[in-house]
Amino acid sequence: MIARRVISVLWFLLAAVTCIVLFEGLLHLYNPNRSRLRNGKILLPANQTYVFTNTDIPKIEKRIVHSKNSLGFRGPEIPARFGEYLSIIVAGGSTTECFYLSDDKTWPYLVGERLKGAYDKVWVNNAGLDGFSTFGIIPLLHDHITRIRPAYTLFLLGANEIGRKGDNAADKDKMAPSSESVSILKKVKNESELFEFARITWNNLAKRGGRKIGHHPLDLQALSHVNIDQRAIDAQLDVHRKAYIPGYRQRLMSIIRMCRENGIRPVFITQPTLAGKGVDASTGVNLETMVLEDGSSGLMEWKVLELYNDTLREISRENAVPLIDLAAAFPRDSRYYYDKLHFDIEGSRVAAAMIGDRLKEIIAGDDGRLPGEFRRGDGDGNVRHAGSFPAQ
Amino acid sequence: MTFNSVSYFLFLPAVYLVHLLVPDRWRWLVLLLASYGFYASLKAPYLPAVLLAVTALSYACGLRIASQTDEADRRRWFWSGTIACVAILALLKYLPFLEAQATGFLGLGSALSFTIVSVGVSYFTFQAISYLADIYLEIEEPERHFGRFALYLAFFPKLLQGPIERAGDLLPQLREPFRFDSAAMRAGLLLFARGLFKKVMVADRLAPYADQVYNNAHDYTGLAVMIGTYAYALQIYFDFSGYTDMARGTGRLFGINLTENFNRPYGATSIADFWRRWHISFSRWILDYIFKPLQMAWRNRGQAGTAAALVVTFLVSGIWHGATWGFVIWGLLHGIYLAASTYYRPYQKKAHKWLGIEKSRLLRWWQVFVTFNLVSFAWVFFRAKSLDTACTLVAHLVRGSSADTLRRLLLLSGRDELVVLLLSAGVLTLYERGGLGERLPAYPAYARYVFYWFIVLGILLYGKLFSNSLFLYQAF
Amino acid sequence: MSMATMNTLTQIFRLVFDDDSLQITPDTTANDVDGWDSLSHVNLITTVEAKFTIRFTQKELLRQRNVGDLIADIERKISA
Repeated sequence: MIARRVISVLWFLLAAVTCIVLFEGLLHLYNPNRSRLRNGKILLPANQTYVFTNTDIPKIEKRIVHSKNSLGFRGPEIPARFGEYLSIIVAGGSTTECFYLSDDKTWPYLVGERLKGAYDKVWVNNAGLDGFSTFGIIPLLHDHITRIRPAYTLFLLGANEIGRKGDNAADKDKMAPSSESVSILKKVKNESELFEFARITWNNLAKRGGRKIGHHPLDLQALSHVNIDQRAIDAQLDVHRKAYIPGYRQRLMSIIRMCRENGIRPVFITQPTLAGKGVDASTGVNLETMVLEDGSSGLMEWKVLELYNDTLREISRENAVPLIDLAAAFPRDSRYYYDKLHFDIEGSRVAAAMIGDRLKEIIAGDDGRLPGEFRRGDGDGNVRHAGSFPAQ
Repeated sequence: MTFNSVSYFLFLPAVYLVHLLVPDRWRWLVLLLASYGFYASLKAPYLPAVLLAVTALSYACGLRIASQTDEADRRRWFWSGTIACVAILALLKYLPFLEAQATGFLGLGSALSFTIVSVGVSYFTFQAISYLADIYLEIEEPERHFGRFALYLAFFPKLLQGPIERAGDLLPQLREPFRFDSAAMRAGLLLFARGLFKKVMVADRLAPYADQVYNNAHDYTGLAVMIGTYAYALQIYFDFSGYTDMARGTGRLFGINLTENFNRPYGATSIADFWRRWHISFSRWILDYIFKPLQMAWRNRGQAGTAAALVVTFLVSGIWHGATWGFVIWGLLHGIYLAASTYYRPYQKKAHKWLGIEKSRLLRWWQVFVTFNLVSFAWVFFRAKSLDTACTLVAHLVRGSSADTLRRLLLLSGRDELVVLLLSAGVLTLYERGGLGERLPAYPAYARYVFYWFIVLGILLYGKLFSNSLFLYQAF
Repeated sequence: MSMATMNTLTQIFRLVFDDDSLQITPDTTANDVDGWDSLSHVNLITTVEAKFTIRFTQKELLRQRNVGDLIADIERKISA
């Protein structure tokens, strides 16, 4: 009697193992929960919806919904008659991805809404990825964006470039894993889809529908202050100028070349930050002397970032790439940021307004040479195709 | 909570356990409390109150109708109860619509600051009306035990989306003592799993295709519109029949057999046949309580009387689904389909006989094909969010469609998702056609366990489980 | 139940459903007779009413479940 029961249990367990092995295999073929778009080097999570419960940061929503479409970007799917749309992809790091803003609060989305006022059919996708720099953006461009061939690609660059010599953890996170020799157990842990699924599900259930937020709010008034003299700042700038800027210039040139070879118009956007000259309009805190990182002051951080922004400005000028100088125009007010770089809901709106309006000027300037039928107000109803742009 | 949510997977075993351990005479109370708790979990506090009101009202009227001997008095009580139920339903369902129309007409803003949820109300009010009618027609005796009667209306597996149970079907079962039966439990769980599978593996995967076409009607023409509509036709079938399976599976766990709601509806050879296979509990309701009385009342007007009765019946059906022109036109279309068939069917039958093809398989396939397309055409109005969208899509049907658009539409969710969709549909077909559900106990233990693990892991890993998508027919 | 009623009814059935070999019993229901779906039921009723010169009430009609019920109603009305 007991023997029968034991045998039943054994069959049950054997069946479980059979199915685990079977599904591990199936999941490696296709895993809908961590669907990865693998084109070349870059893996993007597609068709995902993340829901975050925010209890830490007051300036953003309590419940954040972040969705990725089938391209692995935020925004609508590619429409049926793509060629008729003013198509824009926005690339950058976390300040572009706006990870902790809901879909309809991100500035790329709001730029799209703004453009819809002037153009019939607008399609904007947000290809921003937390932590990405030009190191990651170049393969992203190569593997994903050039396949889509939007009319414009906007690049908000700066913060993640600082002191970068190569791929960092964030870039690597999105890249196909290389075959390194790792212990078997670790390999199973890393490679097993089932394990990953179980882990994620456990996290989801434990948090009851809301993931925790990875960013932390910045409390300006709790910061200490320091005065760093000009010489120290200059020394730092020199370091960057020698070690990092030349590489940055090269990568920017690559980006421009890749875009233009594929009929995409690049647009560069400089990176604004809360740190810098003067005093915060909302709290009165001195933005020059505040200490955000050890050994650095607000003024120094800003000057270093401006070095990279200047590089962007120069490259734009030298190569006739339209520039949206958000760094210069954006108000230095903690009302618009929840930390030194990331826009809150208000800030996102302001950024979208500035970028959108400037973008309208740029597009209008290009007006005579654009493909598709998305221009309005062409009285004779003609559709003009620029010969060098491939039709969708 | 909905059937495909985590909370339900916790709720159900808990209720089952309590139900099992409690002495038999209190089991109805466990189920009743669970049902009201289930209804309350929707976070619309007036809903359980409405349920209670309808329960009390129909309980009282039912007793009254039975106790009166004078026909006029019986009729009065019957109509009072029925009209009260209809009024409650109308108020909850159509007030927002009417209010919006009225204030729009008067140029005012809407006074209603919240959306009125009315999930389930359509179903239990109709069930209450059928109870009263059956008592009035002396087909059934009224239920004297208030708790049991309340459970008859509130039973949570069927509360939100039906099936609409007749007194003669459900009340006797509620009076039976519960006996634990492992075969019934297995059957119930399998049925539940089949329903869940239909919903999270198939229906929710079909949704994006339909949504894409219907949310962007201006961009799609020709074959693409057909694909989107067929996708919806299949989606609503798998969604609703999936829900019904889950409801019936749950019911079986408690020893209750709820009525079947679907019988391979897209295998129907005519619209009349379709309505014998689709949402059966509902179509039987409108057949018995609206169509037959009307048809009998107008029996001396010949075919015109029947045709009119059909149109009115299906108009009511449309309105029951919702207060928009789309639903009304959908209902009207089906009414017209059926009314027309009363005229041409005799000739059609004669023609088939004369041609000698009435038993032909080719004819059957043709009839299935035509019926499916007629039904799908009506679905366009049902699904489209506005009349404008529906008309756009219909107008677009006659135009052509580019191969590129079609390809992009079919690959909307990616090639892998499409493969999973097709495989899931295949697995389902094999399961149902092969009668696997019944044959399973005969298989060796290892095979059975592999099957169970396969289904459970498949649903967990590949099912769109945690998206918490609503069942479609909850909206009606 | 008289044989006469049964015979007349059988003839009516055969006429309405166009089937000379049709046989009915008191237990015959809608599912048994080919063609007796809702749309031909009404033809049956009107023919019965004409033939027997009676008129059913709404309630009687909705209560009829099989041929036996129908005959009972007919006979009650003829003898009334």
